[in-house]
Amino acid sequence: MSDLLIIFRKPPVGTSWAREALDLALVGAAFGQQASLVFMGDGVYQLLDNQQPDQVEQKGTQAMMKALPMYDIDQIFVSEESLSERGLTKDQLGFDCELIGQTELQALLKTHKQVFNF
Amino acid sequence: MILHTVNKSPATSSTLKECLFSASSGDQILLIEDGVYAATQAFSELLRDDLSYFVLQNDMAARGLNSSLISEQWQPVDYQGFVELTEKADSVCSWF
Amino acid sequence: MLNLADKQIPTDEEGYLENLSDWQPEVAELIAEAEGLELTESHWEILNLLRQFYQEFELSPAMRPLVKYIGIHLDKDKAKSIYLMQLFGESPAKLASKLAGLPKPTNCL
Repeated sequence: MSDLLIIFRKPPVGTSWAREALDLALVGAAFGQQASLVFMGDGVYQLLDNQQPDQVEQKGTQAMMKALPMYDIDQIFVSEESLSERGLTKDQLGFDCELIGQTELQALLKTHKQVFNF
Repeated sequence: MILHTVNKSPATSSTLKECLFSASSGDQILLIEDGVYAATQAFSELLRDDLSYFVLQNDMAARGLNSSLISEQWQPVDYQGFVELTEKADSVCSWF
Repeated sequence: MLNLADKQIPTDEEGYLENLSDWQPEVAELIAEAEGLELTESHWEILNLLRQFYQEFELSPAMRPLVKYIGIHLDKDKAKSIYLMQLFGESPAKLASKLAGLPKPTNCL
């Protein structure tokens, strides 16, 4: 089981929450703390493909997301309910992650001593 | 048991909803800051019956919410009560 | 501030470039000189790979991901922190990022 659980709940553009959360995952990994990531709520929008944040003069997270395997972060989950609430399916996402339902999500929170919510 | 704190109004943010969705049976919810509006009658239908509910008195008072406005599931606590809840919990998860 | 020919290149107090677009190989030579380092082909191989990493992921890597990335793109023997330390000293990720004109890796001390 990983050391940190990081929950991504904010959309990708407009604030720096998504980048901050990823930074935390990367810092953790650099210090040997394995992180699991969960995308839920509007956080699932971070996983959409072809984001062009430079159109509004911002930096997105897609390039950073691609670096996750370099940091050995491979536990990446997305809430099934959050996706379907937004009319999205897994194959519309630009990033490979594992679908989880409510029970699995609750278990993840329960089993991690350190939960960081962004 | 996890203590979940929520600090956003349920009328403008899905924070409470996401917290309630992620909490496990037996967990505790504590409303702080603008989260305290969730304790009013209008939002009582969102609540699950397998969680315990607390609301920070000081934040209620600051917003003019008295006990007649909040629904019965919510138990007011002061700062001392907040600390005690934190101590009892295995971990604290803040939803904002 | 670095002085390259008649051009002034702004840096932060630790010597990292303020503007990544100011970088050119001569800038790396200049920083290396100030750090008492002579850049060889082996150094350049890593610096070029670092710049490639930054282009791909928009971040300066910490040690572990850098080592992993080297393992993917270069000779496996080079994918070792000891190799990087031989080239760049005690904090290879930091110094190499500085030489390559990248921001300081935020995720390493």
